[in-house]
Amino acid sequence: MDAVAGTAGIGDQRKCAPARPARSSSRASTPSSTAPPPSPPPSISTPGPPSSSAPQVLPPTLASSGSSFCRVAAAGTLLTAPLSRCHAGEGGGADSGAVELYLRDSGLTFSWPCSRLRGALGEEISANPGVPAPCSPDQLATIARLLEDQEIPEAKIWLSAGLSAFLFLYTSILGCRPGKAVVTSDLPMGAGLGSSAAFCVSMSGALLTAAGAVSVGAHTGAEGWEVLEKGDLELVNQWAFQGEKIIHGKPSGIDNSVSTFGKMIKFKKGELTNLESRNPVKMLITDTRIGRNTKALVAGVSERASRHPDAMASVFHAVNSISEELSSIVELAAEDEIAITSKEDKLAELMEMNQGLLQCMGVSHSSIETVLRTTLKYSLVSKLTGAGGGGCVLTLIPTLSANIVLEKVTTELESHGYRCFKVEVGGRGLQICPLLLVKDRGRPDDPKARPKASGEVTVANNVQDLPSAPLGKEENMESLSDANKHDANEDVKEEVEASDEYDTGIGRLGHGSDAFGSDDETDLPFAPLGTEENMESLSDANKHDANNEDVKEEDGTSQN
Amino acid sequence: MDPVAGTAGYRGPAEVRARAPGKIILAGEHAVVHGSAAVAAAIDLYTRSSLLLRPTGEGGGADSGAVELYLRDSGLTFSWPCSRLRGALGEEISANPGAPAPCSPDQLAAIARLLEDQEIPEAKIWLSAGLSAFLFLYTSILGCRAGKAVVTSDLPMGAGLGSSAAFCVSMSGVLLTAAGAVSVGAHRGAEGWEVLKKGDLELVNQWAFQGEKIIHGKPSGIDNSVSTFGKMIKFKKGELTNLESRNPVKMLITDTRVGRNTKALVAGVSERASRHPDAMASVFHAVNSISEELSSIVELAAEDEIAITSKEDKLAELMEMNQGLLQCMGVSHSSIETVLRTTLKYSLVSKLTGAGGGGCVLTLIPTLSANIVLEKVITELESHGYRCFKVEVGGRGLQVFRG
Repeated sequence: MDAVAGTAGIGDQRKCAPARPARSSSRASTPSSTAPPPSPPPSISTPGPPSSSAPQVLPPTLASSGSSFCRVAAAGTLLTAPLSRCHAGEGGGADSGAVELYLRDSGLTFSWPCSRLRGALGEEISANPGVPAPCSPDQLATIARLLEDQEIPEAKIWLSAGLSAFLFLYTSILGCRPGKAVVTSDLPMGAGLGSSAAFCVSMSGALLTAAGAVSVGAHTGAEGWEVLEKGDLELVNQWAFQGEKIIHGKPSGIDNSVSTFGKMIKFKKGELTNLESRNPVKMLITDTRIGRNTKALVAGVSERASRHPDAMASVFHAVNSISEELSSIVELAAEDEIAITSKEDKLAELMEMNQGLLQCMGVSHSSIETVLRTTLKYSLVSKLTGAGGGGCVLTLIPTLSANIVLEKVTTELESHGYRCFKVEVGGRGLQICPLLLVKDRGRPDDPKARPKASGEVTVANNVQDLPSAPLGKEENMESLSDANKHDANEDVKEEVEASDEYDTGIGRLGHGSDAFGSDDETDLPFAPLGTEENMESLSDANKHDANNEDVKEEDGTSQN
Repeated sequence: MDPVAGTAGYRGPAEVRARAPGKIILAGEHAVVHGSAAVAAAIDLYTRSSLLLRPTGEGGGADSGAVELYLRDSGLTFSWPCSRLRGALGEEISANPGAPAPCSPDQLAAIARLLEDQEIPEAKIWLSAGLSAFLFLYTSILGCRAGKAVVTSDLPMGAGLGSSAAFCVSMSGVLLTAAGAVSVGAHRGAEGWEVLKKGDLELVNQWAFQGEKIIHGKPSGIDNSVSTFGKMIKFKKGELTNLESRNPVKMLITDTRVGRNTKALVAGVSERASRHPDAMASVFHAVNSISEELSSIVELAAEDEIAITSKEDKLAELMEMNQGLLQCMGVSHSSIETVLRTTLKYSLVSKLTGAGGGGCVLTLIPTLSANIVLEKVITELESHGYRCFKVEVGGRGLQVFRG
């Protein structure tokens, strides 16, 4: 919860001046080293926390192979990072809010007072969103101590790794600014569907957006979910990978890459190749709900390879051939039913062959075989996905297959206690919804009111004539959260047009392109809440902007 | 005039008996067609042939008997008067047991005509091939001498366990013994089952192979070789290597009783290889490596329980790997998977043997496993309608009974 908003009235609102230099609308790809101490554009603190969704990932089979991910999965992260100073200043003193994480699906909340974070991480905190760096051993030790504060239920000891990743990402990107993150997911955990990567990607996306280190593109999709530019995605991906390293130790990087970039990615010896997959493929994912020890399974394959080096080398070659073939096939355009069926037949055959090779490696399991047997009755081809030994199984659903077949096989699988997900494979990656980003609203009657260029920020240095926004009180913040809950559960359009620009919420007055230090003392009032009307009108302005009207920087000297 | 019966004072041979084992493929099926190594092993399920030659000469005249074949398991008897045989095969009959030669097209045509005499029940049309092989072997080795052969077998037919080869080997064994072309050793007082000398076994094997060619068209030769020589044989690109297998291995053979079309299955693998040449080439390489490794492992002597267990663990792992590769080739089947699943519950490793698509499945039974486990898994498999055989793998080949 926004601790600052709760404590102060007009004039007491704190905002850190946005630190990033204004940018022209043709953005540079990476908000890199110039990124000064993090202070997200103030609009983030007003209604409309950014939320990001990152799809799940289907990790590759144990040897190099193409991977694809599913659009259906979304680990949604809602980040509310109300502004406050990163350092002690007036009033609040040491008690300057907390960093909270609410895991909606399990109903668990974790919270660390900012002061505690500052105290623990001390010198470590130099939030540098533009420069992803691994978590140092010292940081990790500190984070471990911070976790001890929390009561992590015994049954959920796996949370620790995720919480560590969260603290690392949060403090690295936003420092000790108070904020509340909410996470919810469609993805089953520990099932090999990349839930931890989706968590890291969506969280990094939200954090970086709040930090102003990335921003959504100039076009405004109808749904409000935007894809970042390639350079921004790279940044998100790099941070997400660092988070993954905390959770997994030595992750391949493919989970977070697919979650970030979407579609399909071929991965071989550390090299990733994005595949231009055409013709979305429908699949059934069956979660056998059998937990397994991935490390042990991977080690088992290595041991088998050491006992039978020649045979297993050939097996790995065969899998390589299958992955390479599959990579080519998915890029073929199939225009008509015959071509589509032919493409799907090839996919199915490759899947069947891969499954046999996985059995040769020894990573199948009776539950996987049960799924295979069941789908075989309906002439459907399946293969395990991920580590094996349980976990999930993919079944190809041909485009021309009757729905009744899918219903029947799902029913039969569920009768075994398995959980089924109908998914589309090869869809979108990370998307950001900069919900309710507020435009210039300071002067509704200003004829020259116009949206800012992306990244452009203004900071008021004279607050008196500007109306202040209502305090971000718990009720109105909560109601927004509800709106977001609503969104997180249904793939719906945003109620307001998302703008692609951040807004200081102040309007006219602001400095130019200088970076602002975080010790900017200016008190900046909040902008009025984005109500539907004023957002709509701003959207028009935004559309206006999208036509590439000339957008000037605003600087403190001009009175627009 | 045959060398034995024509001897003065010869009172007629006693019944000659022989038994020849069936076989399983331990590794390498299908891939062997594409150049990989395969390993076959004898199993202690036998086809037994016996032959009683009628004494020639006395009294018969033109009515000089018949050549009879009695298939005990199906209760069918087939019989050709010797005169009919002489008439049909005519000049062809120059029984030359020491010189195995293929069945010529003319001979085959003549044999086909001879079969027309017989009433072969519609449901057993597969008999024709076996009867043709019988007539060919008999007349090539013994000419038109009257005699009665009886055959019975432990082996299910058409299940991939080498029943036709076991038939040809045991039949060739009794025919050649009756012809005096091979003999069991003169030593040994007691009666019992004897192994022929190596050279004699070679002769039997060559005749059996000719019989197999009539039944199968283009057999690999491994079936009859294993049945003749026993133990285990590695087979690669036409070359056979006898393996000195030690420590007999216990296995369960489960006959799913699902028939399948071997030709179609073999063709299916070739088609998949043409669609995915690189992947399938690697698959065949992997199978080759498995067969080569298995060949080495079976020749290791294992003296104590630890060594035996270690050997069996390796065998099991190779079988499991081979099964995965066969699935990759696309020759598994839901019935095979059912057997696999069932045995897995008892921590036993299984793999299909032969063509796949049904047929038989092998399950390794570790030496140290409790009998109760074996009983339970058999009960469960039989509840699916499958037929189970407990066998010892890598044992003896052709044996002739010395009476």
